[in-house]
Amino acid sequence: MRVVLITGVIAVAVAALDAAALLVGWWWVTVLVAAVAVYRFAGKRVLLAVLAGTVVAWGASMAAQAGSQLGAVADLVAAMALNGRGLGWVVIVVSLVYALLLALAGSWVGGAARRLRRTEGVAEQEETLEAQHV
Amino acid sequence: MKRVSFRRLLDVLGGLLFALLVLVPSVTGLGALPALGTALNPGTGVWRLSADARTAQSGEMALPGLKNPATVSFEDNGLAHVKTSDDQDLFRVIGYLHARFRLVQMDLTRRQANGTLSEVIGAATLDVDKFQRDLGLRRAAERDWVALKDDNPAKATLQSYSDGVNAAMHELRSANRMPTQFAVLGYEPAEWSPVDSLAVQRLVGQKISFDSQAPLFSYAEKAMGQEAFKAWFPDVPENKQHPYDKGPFKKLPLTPLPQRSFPDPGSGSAKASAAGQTRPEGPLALGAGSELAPLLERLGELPNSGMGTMGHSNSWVVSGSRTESGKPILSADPHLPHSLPSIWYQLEGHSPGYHFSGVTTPGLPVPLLGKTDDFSWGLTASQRPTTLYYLEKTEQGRPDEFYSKGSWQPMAKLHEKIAVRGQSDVDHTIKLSSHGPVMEVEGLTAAVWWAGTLPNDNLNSILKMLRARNVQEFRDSLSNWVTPALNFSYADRHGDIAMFNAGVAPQVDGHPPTLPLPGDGTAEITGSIPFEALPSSVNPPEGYIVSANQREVTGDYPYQYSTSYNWVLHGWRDGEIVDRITSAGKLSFAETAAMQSDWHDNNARQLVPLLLDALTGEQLSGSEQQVVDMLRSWDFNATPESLAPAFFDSFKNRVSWVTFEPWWKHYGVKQNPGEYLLPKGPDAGAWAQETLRGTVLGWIQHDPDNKYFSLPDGTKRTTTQVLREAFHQSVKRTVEKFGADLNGWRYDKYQRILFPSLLGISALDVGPMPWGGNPRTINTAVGTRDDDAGNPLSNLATAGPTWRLNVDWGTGEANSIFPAGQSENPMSPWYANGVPVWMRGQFWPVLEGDAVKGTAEWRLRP
Repeated sequence: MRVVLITGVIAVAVAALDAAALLVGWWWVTVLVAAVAVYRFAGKRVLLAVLAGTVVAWGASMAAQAGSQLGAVADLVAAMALNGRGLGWVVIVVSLVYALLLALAGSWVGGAARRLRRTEGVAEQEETLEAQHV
Repeated sequence: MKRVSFRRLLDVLGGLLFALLVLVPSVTGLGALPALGTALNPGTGVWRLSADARTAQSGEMALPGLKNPATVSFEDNGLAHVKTSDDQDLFRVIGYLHARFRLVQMDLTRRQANGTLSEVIGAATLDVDKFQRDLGLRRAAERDWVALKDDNPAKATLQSYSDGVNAAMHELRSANRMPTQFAVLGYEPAEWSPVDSLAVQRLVGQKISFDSQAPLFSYAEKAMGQEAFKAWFPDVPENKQHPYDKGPFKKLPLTPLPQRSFPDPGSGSAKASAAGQTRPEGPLALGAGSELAPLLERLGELPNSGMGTMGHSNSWVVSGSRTESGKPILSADPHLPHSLPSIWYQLEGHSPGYHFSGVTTPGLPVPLLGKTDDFSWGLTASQRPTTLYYLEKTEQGRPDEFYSKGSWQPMAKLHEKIAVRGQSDVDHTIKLSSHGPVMEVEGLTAAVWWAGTLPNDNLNSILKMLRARNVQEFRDSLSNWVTPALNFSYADRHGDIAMFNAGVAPQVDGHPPTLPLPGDGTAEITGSIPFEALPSSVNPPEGYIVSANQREVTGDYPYQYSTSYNWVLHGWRDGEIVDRITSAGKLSFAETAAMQSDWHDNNARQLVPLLLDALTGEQLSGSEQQVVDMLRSWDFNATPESLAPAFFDSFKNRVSWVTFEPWWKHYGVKQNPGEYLLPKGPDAGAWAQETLRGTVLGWIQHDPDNKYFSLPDGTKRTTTQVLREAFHQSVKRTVEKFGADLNGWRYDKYQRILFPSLLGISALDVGPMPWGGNPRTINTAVGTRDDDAGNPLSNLATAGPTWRLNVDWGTGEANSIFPAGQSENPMSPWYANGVPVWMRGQFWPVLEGDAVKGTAEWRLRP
């Protein structure tokens, strides 16, 4: 239960931080937040939480900006980029996949840094989800 | 310290590599892709489109540089009303407005003018950039900016305007609200400068006045010889003309032209960054399969589509003796390529020294057509040569020299680097003889003398014009107008009407300036027609003045002037306008405005009765008889519901084809490289065809025994035979194309109108929609596009009246409309809201002062 709760908290925190940064166009915060989260908390569930939080942040920000015209904006961008009508869904999917790639990049670097640190014998004081689970 | 395992190292390296793979395209873009982070993030990227599209909201905002507070009111249709208490503030606010609503258009326009499109689009526009750099709009703009004296009001106006544009850009940038199109294209525009405005001013002139008729028609002149060429392509078109200046003319001494030398001493070599543009960062390449490649390719066609060359126009003024209100009425509709956004941004400007309502071009601070408190004015392009082509004598052993006035002279050379998106810079060398840049046009290499790059102070002329109080002051303001050659129509509150031709008119001793000239010094320009001797008309006794690009003067005009072939508009529209004005009783404001939507075909009005006469006694098939009956009841109105245009579209071309085709074969006239000098088939249009249509009509009417009706082998043909043959062919062809049932011939089944997006994106176009008219009707419908095989699409109108203005100085009524909207944002309700109104032939009232019902107001403070 606690694991689920913490996972949820991480997802919400990631979503909130990402969304706040996206308000001013700081897309790179998505990478940073993912890296810090995975560095701080180990485990597959953390990764899932980060990815979920990222998708929620990006999706909600897109919806907040475009409002009810999300589809129309996507169609228009598709028209500009692909010169095709009715391909707005491609733009939405590409945007979300791109957000996930940013988060994955950050997660990988954060996780690698964390594992490297552990290998070097630095005392790991961080709380891990696995440890808590045990 | 523990040893780091290889596996851990790989882990870290893998993470960093993956991050790099994601972050590089995020920051710099990849191939044709823009920087993904900037483009896709919801806060400042493409997802802001709808938020930015919201119509202007009332509010207070800072505009740095303002001397006093100012206001901008917006009507619900988007028309803007600017009120300032300082003249320079007025132009600062106009710059701010333009940038807020048209920044993408402004940047692309200055890039086209400066020859820097390739920097953001790629190799697709490299040839266009080279052409523009050869022509030298940027060099001319730089030179003229340096030459502007501090006390010239134009200097302060340009600076204020630029300041306003830059203030808007700073505001948009700091709020992360730059237009989304920049995010998609992957760059941001640099600061605006007064030189940019001067370059854009010349680009507008280029669209109206730069032509390639001389090299084009030289193919015919060379093959046919002068006598035959003159017969087919006379100075004064053979069909009925309506010159507004019928003389008597004075032959005054020529005036010197504004001095220019090549290369211009004040200019220096323009560099890739000449426009001060921001180059997209990173390794950009137009790779195959890149998602944005289609957009960039379409943008590469931009100069040939939305921003191509096509400058027609109508304007007429009717004196109080012919109007219901007892005071003059002015109507004007400039014809240019349609585009979304439009070339025009409409506004009312009010300051202590100025009060005007009219259309501005984003990039320029002043209105080009409109009204003040005292007068209204319109513009039409004048049909006279201002682009001269010199065939320089060169030798293989002297690649950088030309022979002139008895000796070999060195060509000046300018070396420039053109930045090209996705590849390394391209070196470009501009060669200049004493006549101008050496360019290849219509397959001919020649030095191009174009009036558009002469030093000019046109902005000052317009500022003076805006302050004119009467016809004399209006005329005086135009006396130093340089280029493009225009007719300025005028009607005022005092009851005066006038038309003035303005701009330099180069004269060449002993050689027609409308054909390529020898560059050896024997055909130098000796001066210009003085302003006092240019065509003009003030309060003529007939009570009206009409300009619709027809030849403004009669054949006895004592200077070199336009010919039937150096422009291809032959008086069809002015014929209809004159008929309408003279056949009406007292013209009302509504009647005058309705004339702008008229689709009567003057060519058909003159040719069809001649055909029906020729068919008397002829044996006709059932279909042919049906066509004759249809033609007898046709009022020559090419409405969308009409049936006759299906036949006449073919017939008008076949009459010329049947007459001339055997002869141009006989003479061996060659096509130009683009193959549009001569028609490719009996139903095709062509540049020569446009002139020959008037020639053959004039001959049928007045010279039926002309030798060219007969065949080159001596076989005798009469005009009746020619008309009958063309008729039989046309009916056969029309039946084949549309079927034997005449109900299938409705014009709107194939005649369309399209309002293309400036970015060339079909999803952002409006149309195509059923339409009427043709290039000869007052409500002109001109195709500027080719099909995939390079043949002109004759039934897809993409150019026509881009703004309509009517002002009645008796009732005080004024209205206008343009087929677009004030905003360039495709999601804005002001993107294309004028299109349906324009298509219905309706208008928006021109409201001023207290009559304005603003739905939003910006309060601008210093």
